[in-house]
Amino acid sequence: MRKKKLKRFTFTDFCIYAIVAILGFTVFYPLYNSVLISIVPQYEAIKHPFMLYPPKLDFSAYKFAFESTSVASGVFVSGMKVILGGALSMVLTLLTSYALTRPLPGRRLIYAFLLIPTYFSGGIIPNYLLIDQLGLMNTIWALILPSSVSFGTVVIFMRYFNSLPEELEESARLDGANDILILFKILIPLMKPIIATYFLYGAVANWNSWFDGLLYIRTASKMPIQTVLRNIIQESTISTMESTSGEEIAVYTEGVKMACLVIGMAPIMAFYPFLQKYFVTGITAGAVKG
Amino acid sequence: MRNKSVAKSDRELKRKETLRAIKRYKYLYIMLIPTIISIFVFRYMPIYGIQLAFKEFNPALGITKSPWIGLANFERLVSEPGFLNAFKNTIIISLMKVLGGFTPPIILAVLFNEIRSLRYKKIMQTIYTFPNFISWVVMAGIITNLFSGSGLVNQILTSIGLEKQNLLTEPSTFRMFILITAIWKGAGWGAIYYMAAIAGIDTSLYEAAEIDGANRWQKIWHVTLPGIREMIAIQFIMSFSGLMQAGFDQIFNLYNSSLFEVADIIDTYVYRISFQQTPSYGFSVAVGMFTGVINLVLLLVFNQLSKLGGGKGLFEGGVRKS
Repeated sequence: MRKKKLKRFTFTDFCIYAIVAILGFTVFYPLYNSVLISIVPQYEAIKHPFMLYPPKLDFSAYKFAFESTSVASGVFVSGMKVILGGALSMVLTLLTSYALTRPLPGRRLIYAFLLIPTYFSGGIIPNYLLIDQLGLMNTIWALILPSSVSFGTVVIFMRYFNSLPEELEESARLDGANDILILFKILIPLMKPIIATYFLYGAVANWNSWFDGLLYIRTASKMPIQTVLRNIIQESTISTMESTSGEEIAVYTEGVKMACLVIGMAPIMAFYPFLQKYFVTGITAGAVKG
Repeated sequence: MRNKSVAKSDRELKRKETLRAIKRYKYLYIMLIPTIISIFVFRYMPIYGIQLAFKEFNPALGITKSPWIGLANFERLVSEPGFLNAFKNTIIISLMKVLGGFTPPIILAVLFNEIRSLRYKKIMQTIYTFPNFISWVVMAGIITNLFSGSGLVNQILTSIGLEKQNLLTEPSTFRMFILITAIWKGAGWGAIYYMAAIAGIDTSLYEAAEIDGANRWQKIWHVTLPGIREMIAIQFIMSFSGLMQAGFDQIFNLYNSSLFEVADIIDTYVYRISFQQTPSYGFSVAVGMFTGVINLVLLLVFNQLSKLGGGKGLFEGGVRKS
């Protein structure tokens, strides 16, 4: 029995709410501010550095970003990476973790085979040379294939498979279902929350990755969005330093830069508030360390 | 004689059983093939390239035929000022992050736990955890805009009569800048771990404390914090295992050449000697191997320590103990 006493909203409560609100504002405002800079005319952004709402709307920065930079193709490449890479790694993770939780002869050996590379890695140069040798350089596969299976995720899925009651399977087996049928018809539907959680983690990681694009992709139109953004930010710092007069300064205004950054975080901004619970699930489902 | 033949037929039986099991599970083996291939190609094959640490890489000859040069790359390691500087910075920045970034998530979690309005808590939680899921590329862009000469921070400083600060290029404060921006991005999400632990505390403990007349601070001090002691210990111990990773994404996107002395870490250094200037692949692999070994030792030691503290260990619970 739990009795809820109605407590007074004390001064201490007020202080706690205020502290959390003020800190929250400092976390949130820089992100919000960059959205504002991207949607107001440039003179407004200069006139009112500390905006709380857009005094006037102007979406020309977005028009410019999509028409004159590689942002559009970057969104496409990263979107492909999220979908293809996410689907591939989810399929591989499910198949692997399912098979390894069955009493296969030699499964410990296979487990060890997958475990060992988590402790050693070739490092940046051997990876680079490998991608080159495989002929994957400058293709989207260089961004998808190397990260297709994560051993940590496989282990978490194995724990999950192990935690499912065996009776489920046994009764299905009596009805004549085979291993594959059991996996797809009985077990996977039970795993929807954890599948959603890890698909989302993967989607965020795929959307946010930029270093592989920097290493393996040379053609601007094949670069993922984050690599494109990095180039825009780096270039703009150079161009604003070099050109004090002339039209060149109009190329990457703060507004355009911020518009590009907002595009780079838009999917996460749009989905995160609604999908937050899946992200949090991962903490209780997973290992201690995130 | 008879014994032997019994043993033999026993073994035969066992082998037959295994064969039957393999046959019975053939689809499961087929399921494993794509993963095995992927791991072999992308995780094992690069390990072959580690031999470059002992070679002078010649692109025309490839990995296998490049000439051996013994330990020359490692000798260069201990005498190269750039590397020693990066090594020092890595340790300093990591330690700053381990020690300075350790308490903010705990404080946040305790604060959140004191909020009674569920809706307020949820909204704030969303705001605080959100930056964790934004890439450092975007974050660096926003931070650069915020702290630039004409950015918001300097506008505020000048409007209240203070001098402009160029935190983006000032070596004396840059490490602190790195620490604070890392906390800004990560502390909210870090708090979630502690909130999960707090949710596991038996509510009757709070009721008992209340009956004993404990006030709010006493409840925090005597119930909440002891209740998450284990989680605090594990998080603290495990954060040491990342001592060689000072935050490549963050620093690579925020630093510039005027900050190499204070902010060039091993990972950024390896990138630069590999892909900028005149690349020296062999030396780069040697640096990678050196840090890889330290990483491995740190991981094993601190993973073991965290198990002593009651942690699960990284990969435990995968294969059923049978």
